[in-house]
Amino acid sequence: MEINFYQITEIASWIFLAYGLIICTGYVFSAVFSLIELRDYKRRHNFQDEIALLQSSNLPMVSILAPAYNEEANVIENVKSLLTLNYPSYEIVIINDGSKDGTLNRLIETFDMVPDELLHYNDIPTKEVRGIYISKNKAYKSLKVIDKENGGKADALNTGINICNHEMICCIDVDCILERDALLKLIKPFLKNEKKVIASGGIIRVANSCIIEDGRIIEVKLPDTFLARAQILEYFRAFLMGRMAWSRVDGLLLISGAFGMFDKKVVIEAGGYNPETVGEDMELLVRMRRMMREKNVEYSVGFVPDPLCWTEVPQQWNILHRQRNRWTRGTVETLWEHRKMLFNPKFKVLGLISTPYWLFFEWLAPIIEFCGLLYFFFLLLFGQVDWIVFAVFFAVVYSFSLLFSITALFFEEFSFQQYTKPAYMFQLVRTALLEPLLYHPFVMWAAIMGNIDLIRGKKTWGKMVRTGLTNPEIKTQ
Amino acid sequence: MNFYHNFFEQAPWILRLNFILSLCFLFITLAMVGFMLYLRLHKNVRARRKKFLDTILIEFVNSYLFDEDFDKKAQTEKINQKHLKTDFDRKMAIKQILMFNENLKGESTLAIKELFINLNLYQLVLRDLKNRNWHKKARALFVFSQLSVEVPTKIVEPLLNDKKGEVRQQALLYFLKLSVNNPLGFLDKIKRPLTRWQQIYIENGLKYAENIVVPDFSKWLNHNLDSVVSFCIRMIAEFNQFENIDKLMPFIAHEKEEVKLEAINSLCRMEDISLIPILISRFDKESIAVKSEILKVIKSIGSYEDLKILSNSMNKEKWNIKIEYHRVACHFKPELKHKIFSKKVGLDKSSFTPPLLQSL
Repeated sequence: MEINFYQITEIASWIFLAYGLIICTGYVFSAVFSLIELRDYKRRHNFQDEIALLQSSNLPMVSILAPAYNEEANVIENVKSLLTLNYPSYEIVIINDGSKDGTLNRLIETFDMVPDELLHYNDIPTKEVRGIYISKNKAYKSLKVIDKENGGKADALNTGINICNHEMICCIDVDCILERDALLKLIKPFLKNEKKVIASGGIIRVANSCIIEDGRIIEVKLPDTFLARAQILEYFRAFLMGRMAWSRVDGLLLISGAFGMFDKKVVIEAGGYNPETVGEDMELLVRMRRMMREKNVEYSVGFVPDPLCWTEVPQQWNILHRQRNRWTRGTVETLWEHRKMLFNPKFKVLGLISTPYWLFFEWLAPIIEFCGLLYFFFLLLFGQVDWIVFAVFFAVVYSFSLLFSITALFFEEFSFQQYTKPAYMFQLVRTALLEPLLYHPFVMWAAIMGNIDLIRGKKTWGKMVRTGLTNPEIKTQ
Repeated sequence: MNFYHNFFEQAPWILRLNFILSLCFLFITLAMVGFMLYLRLHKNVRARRKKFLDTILIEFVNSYLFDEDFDKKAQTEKINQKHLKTDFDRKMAIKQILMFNENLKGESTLAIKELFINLNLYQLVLRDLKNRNWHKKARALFVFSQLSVEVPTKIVEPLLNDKKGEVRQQALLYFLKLSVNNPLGFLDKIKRPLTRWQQIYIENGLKYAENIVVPDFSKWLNHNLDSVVSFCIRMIAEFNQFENIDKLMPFIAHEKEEVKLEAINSLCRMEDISLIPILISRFDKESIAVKSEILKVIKSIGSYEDLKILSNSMNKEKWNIKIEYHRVACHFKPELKHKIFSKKVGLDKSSFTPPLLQSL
C-alpha cells in the first residue's frame, strides 16, 4: 500500500488533532474536579474559627528546614519573619549550604549564635557538616543554624532532616514569604485524615510588586511586567486548577519545593531528597508514594488551597528560560527514575492517570507542540498551507487556551480573590489575551532546550538571579 | 455573509466543528468574564447588606438583652418581618447571635437562646440539619451546639457515624456540649476512628466549655477503637487523673505501638517513677520508637543510674539509639561531655559530625 504526501499530511493532522482533543478533555476534567474541591474547601471553612483551636498544645511539633546559599542580603529579614509564625511549637533550621558570602557570619552575629556539640545520626548520607549553631539568646531558642559543605538544595535539606528534632518537617525556600498561619493550615491534612498523611502542600503565590513589611505581605499588587503577570496566570492554572484536581483524586505527584510539609519518618524511610536530580521536590514525593504503595500502606497526600506562601518569580526572560529548562529536566529525570509506575495498575491513580498525564501532557506536550510547529513550517515551505484551515485551527487553540486562563482567573475570583482591585482583573484578562502568543511559545522553547540539555547530560541548576522582594539583590544557585 | 455560507456549505466537517468550537470557547470566555464581574458586584451588594444588617441586629440584640423597657415581642416581630426576609438575612442574624453568645455568659445566654427561637431561626437551622447537603448539616450542628439548643437525639445520633468528617466532628461537639453530665458518652456510639483533629476539638471542649463534668477517662480504655484508647490515655495525663495510673500500666505492653507510646508518655507526664524499672526491663525487646521514648522518659524523670543500667544493651543497638543514649548521658553529666564523646565515638568515628571529633 502506497501512501502519498497528502495522506501523510492528513494522518499527521489527525494525530495532532487527537492529541489536542485529549489534552483539552483533560483540562476540562481538571477544571471540574478543581471546582468541586474548591467549593468543598470553602464549605468546610466557612463557619468557624479554627485558627484559635489550632493553637492547642497537642499539635505536632514542626521543624522548618530552610536551605540558604549566598543569601546574605535577605537572610536576616527572612529568619525574623519565620520567627513570628503563628504555631505553638516549632524550630527553624537554617542550612547554610557552603555559601561564599557572609550568610553564616550575619546569622551568627545577629542571632548571637554559638557552636553546639549536638550529637546526631546521619539517617541520610550528606556532605560534611562543619558546625551546628544555636543562639545564646532565649528569644531565638527555636533557631538552629547548620553550616555544611556545598552540596545543593537536596543535600542541604537532607542535612536538615538528619539534625532537626521534630517528627514533622516543613521544607521551604528561605526567600519565600509565609503567611503567619501557614503552618497551622498546612498541618491540618495530617490531623484531619483517617488515613496516614505523608505530605501536604500549599498554593504558591507571586510576590513580585507586592508591598512587604517586616517579612509580611501588606498589600497584594499586580506586577508591572507582562512576564510576571503571565506567571501569575500560570500559577493560577497550575495550583487552583491542576493541583486542586489532582488532590481531589489523590493523584498529586508534586509538592512545591518552596513550601511543603512531610512526615519525617516516611521521608527518611524513602531515603530523603535525591541530590542527583534537579527536580528533587517532585522526585521525593513520587518516591514516597511509590514506597507506601509497594508496602501496601493506606496513605494520602494533602493539599491546602489557601494562599500560604509567596515567592518571587523571574522577571527576566533568560532567568525564566533557565528555570523552565530545569523544571523540564527534573520532570523527565523523575519519570525515568520511576518508569516502573507508568501504566502500572498496582499504583492505582498514580500509575494509571498521574504518571501517564505527566508523561504525555507535561513532558511530551511541548515536544509535540514543537513538532506541530515544525510540521506547519514544513507545509508552508511546500506551499501546502490552506490558510482557512490554519485560521480555524489557530482560532480553536487560541480560544481554548484563553478560556483555560480565564477559568483559572474565575477560580481565583470565586475562591480567595487576592487581587481586590477591579483594574487588576482587567489587566489579568489582557495578559491572558497575549499570553498564548508571547509567553507560551517561550516556555515551550525553554522546555525543548531542557530536553536537549538533559540529553547532553547537564546536571546543574543554572544561575538564578533575583531582584529580591525586600532589597534588590543578586543571588546565585 | 457569502463567506460564511460557502464555508458551512463546502468546508469539511472537522473545520466546521472547530469553527463552532472556537465560537463556543469565546462565548464561554466572555460569559466567564461577565460572571466574574457579576461575582464582584454580588459580593459588594452582599457586603453592603451585611453591614446594614449587622448595625440593625447589634442594636436590636443589645436592646433585647439589656434594655428592660424594650418591648421584646413587638420588636422581634417587627425585625422578623421587616429585615429578616431571605435566608441570607437570617444567616446574618444567626451569625450575630453566635457572636453575642460567645462573648456573654450566665443569664444572657438563656436570653440569647430565647431570641434564637423567637426569631424563628430554630426552624431554619433544624431544616438545614435535615438537609441532604453535608455542609448544611455540619453548620446546623455547629449552631445548635454553640447555643446549647437541644434537638431530638434520633436526628443527631446517626450523624456521629456520618461519612463526612465535618458532620461527624460537629455531632461529637454537639453531644460534648449538650451532655453536661456525660460529655463523652458519644464515644460508646462511634464506629469510626477519632482523627487527631477531632481529638483536639474534644479536648478543647472539655477544657473550656462551661459546667462540663470531666469524666473518668479510664472508662474507655478498653474501647475497640485504638484512637479512642490513645485519646483517653492522653487525657488521663492531661487532666491529672492520678488514680488511673495503675490502669494505664498494662498499656505499656500493648500490642499497638501507637497506644504503647501514648501510655509511656502519659505515665511520664504524671511523673510515675515506678514506670522506669519496668521500661528498663522491657527495653531490649522494644521497637526503635519505643526505645527512644524510654530514653526520653529516663531523661525526664529518671537518673543517670537508671541510664547506666542500659549501657550493656547499647553495644548491640543501632546508631540512632546509641546517640539518643549519649544525649541523655550528656544531659545528666554535662561536665563529662567530652569523656562521654571520646568513649563512645571510638565505636565509629565516621558516624559523627566534625565538632564532636574536634572536642576529643
